[in-house]
Amino acid sequence: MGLIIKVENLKAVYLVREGTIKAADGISFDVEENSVTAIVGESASGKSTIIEAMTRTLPLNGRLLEGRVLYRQKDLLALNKEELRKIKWKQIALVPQAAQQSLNPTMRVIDHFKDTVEAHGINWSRQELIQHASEKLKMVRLNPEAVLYAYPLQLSGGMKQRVLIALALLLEPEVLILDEPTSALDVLTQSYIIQLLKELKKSLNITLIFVTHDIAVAAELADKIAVIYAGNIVEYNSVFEIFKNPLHPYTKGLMSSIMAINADMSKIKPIPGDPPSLLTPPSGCRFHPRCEHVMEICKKEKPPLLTLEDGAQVACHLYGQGGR
Amino acid sequence: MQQVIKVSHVSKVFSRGYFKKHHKLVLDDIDLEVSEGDRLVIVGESGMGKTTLARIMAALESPSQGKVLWFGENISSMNKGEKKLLRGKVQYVHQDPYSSLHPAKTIFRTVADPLKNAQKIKGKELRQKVKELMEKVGLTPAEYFFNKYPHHLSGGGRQRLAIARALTTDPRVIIADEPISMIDMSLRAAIIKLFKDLNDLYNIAVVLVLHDIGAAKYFTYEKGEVAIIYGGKIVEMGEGAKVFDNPLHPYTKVLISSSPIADPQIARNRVVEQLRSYEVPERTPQSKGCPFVHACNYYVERCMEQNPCLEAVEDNHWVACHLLVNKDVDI
Repeated sequence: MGLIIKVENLKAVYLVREGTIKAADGISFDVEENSVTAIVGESASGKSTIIEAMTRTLPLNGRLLEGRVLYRQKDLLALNKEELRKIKWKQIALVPQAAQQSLNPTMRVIDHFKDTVEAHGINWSRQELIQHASEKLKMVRLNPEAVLYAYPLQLSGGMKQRVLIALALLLEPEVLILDEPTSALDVLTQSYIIQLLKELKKSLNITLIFVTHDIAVAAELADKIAVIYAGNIVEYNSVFEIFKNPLHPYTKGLMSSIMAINADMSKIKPIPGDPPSLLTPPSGCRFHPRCEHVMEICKKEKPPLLTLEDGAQVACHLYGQGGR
Repeated sequence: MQQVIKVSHVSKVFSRGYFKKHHKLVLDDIDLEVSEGDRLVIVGESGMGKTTLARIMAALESPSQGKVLWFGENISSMNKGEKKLLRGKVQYVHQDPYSSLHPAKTIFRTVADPLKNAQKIKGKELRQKVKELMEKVGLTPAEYFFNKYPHHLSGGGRQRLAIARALTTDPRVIIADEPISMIDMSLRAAIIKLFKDLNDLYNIAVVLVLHDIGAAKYFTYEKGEVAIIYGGKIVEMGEGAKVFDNPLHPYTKVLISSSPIADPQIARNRVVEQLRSYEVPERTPQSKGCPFVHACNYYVERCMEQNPCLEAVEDNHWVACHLLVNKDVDI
C-alpha cells in the first residue's frame, strides 16, 4: 500500500469582522491507499476546514495561506480549475456536511445525477445514466425505482445521506471524503450508515477520509485517527493504539469523557474548561489552559508533531527530548 | 416521598390540514410519575414524541386526553393564580442555549432579573444570590462573568447559564429537553454531571429528554429511572441499571446494540441487528397494533392487532411487548 494523499503544513484562515480565525494551523498528515482515516474534533476545531481546504471548497471568506496537498504527486492546491475538475469526482469525491440541505429541493434525484455527469464532461445517454445511477443506489441499499424520481423532501434524512453517497460514487472515485456523515441522524440510521460505509470500503477498495465529532463513530469505522484540537493535529495514530494508549492529554481527556454505552460509568470524567476561540488562540500549546500536565514551556512554545518510535505522532511537550 | 409530577393516561393528537381532518397520534396513553429527588430520563429518537411529553409535563402544552398533576393537583383545573404559585417549582431548560438566552442581556441580568421577580430581593443580597447560583452551576469566578454577554460563552457555558436561570425560582423539578445535543463532545459529560450534582446536593428532581443512550446510561446508572419511548408510547421503563444491563424490548435491544461503542476491537466484531424497516410510519388514533411491529424481527400475528400495555417483568422494570408478558396467552 502506497501513499495516496499527503497533506503538508496546511494553513487556512477565515476573515471575519473581528479578525482572522486561524482554523487550520499547519496541518500535516499522510493517507494510505485503501485505508479509512478519521479526522476527529469538536465543533469549531477546524476539522471541516481541513477537508474544505484539501478540496478547495472553502467558503468565500476562507483563505488558504500555505501548504501542499499531494494526490499521487500532484499538488491539488497548485492545479488550475480545469485540471482540478478532471480530478474531482472522477478520482476524489466529496460528500458535504449538512446532508439534509445539500440536495436541491426543486430537483429530482435523477437530475442531480444528470448534472454531475454533465459537469464532468461525460456523454451518457439517458439509459446509461439511469443504469449507472441505479447501480450506485443499489450499492447504498436504496430502491432505485422509488428514489430516482423522488424529490428530496420525499426522502428521510438517512435516505438523503445515502443518495449523496451514491452520487459521490457515481464516477467511481478512488478517494471518498465525507464531512460528518452521521451527524444529525438518529442512532439507528447512524449505525446503518456506518455499516454501509464499512461494506462499501470492502467491496470497492476505496480510500475513505471522514470528519466526525463523535470519536465512537471513528472507533467503528476508521483505521487511523487524527485528533484535532483548535486547528492543530494533536495526535495521529492507528485506531487500536489510540484507544488502547492515548498519548496526548486532550485525547486522554476525550476518551474518558465519552459517554459510550459500554463505558465504565464510574470512570467518566469531563475535561475541565472550554475549547478556545480561534480568533485569539492561547499562546504556545493551544491546549495548555485546560491541561493538567501543563509546564512552563507549554505556555511559550508550540509543540511540533513528533513521530515516536512506534510510529505514533503526537504534538505535546511531554514527549520528545527524552521526555515522557 | 412527595410526588412532584404525575402524568396519567396522557395522549396527544396533532391535527393538521385545512379542516383539521388529518390526525397524528404523538403520545399514546402515557403514565409517568416523578417524586421529589428522582432522576428520570426519557430516551427516544427524533419524532417519537419525547419533546411533546416533556412540554406536557411542564404544562407548556396541554394533553388531548388524560391529566397532569403537579404536587397532587390537576393543572387543567387550576386557576391562573394557583398555577403561577406552582409554576416556579417546575422549571424547563430548552434544547438550544444559542437561542434560549437573551443576546443583549448581560449574564448578571440574565440571572438577576428573574431572581428579582421570584424572590423580591435587591442590592447586595441580589448580587450575593446571583453569585451563589452561578457557582452552583460551575460558572466560576462568578464576578468575572457578570458584565459579559451570552456570546462570550461556549455552548456548555450557555447551557450552564440557562440552568442557573432555571434555578432562580428554587424549583423542585427541572425538565430539560435535549440539553446536550447542541454542545461540544468534551463538554457533554460535564453538563450531565451538573444535573447529577444538582440532584444529589439539592434534592431537585431532574427529568432529561435525550437521544444519546450512552448519556442516558451515565445519568441513571447509579440511581434513577429510564423510559424508552417509541411511536409515542413507553415501550420499556425501569431502573437505569436494570434496563441497560438487561434490555428486554426488541427496540431497546436494537437501540443499545447500535449505539456506537468506544472500543475498536469490540466495534469491529459485533453484529448489529438489522431491522426490517428504518422508516417510522405515522400513527393515527385509529392505528392498531404495536407501534414497533413494522420494524420488529420477532413479531407475531397478535402484534399487528393489539397494542401491548406496560407490564411488570421484575421489580421496577416494565415492558410493553406481547412476547415478554402475558406468557399464558399463546402467541
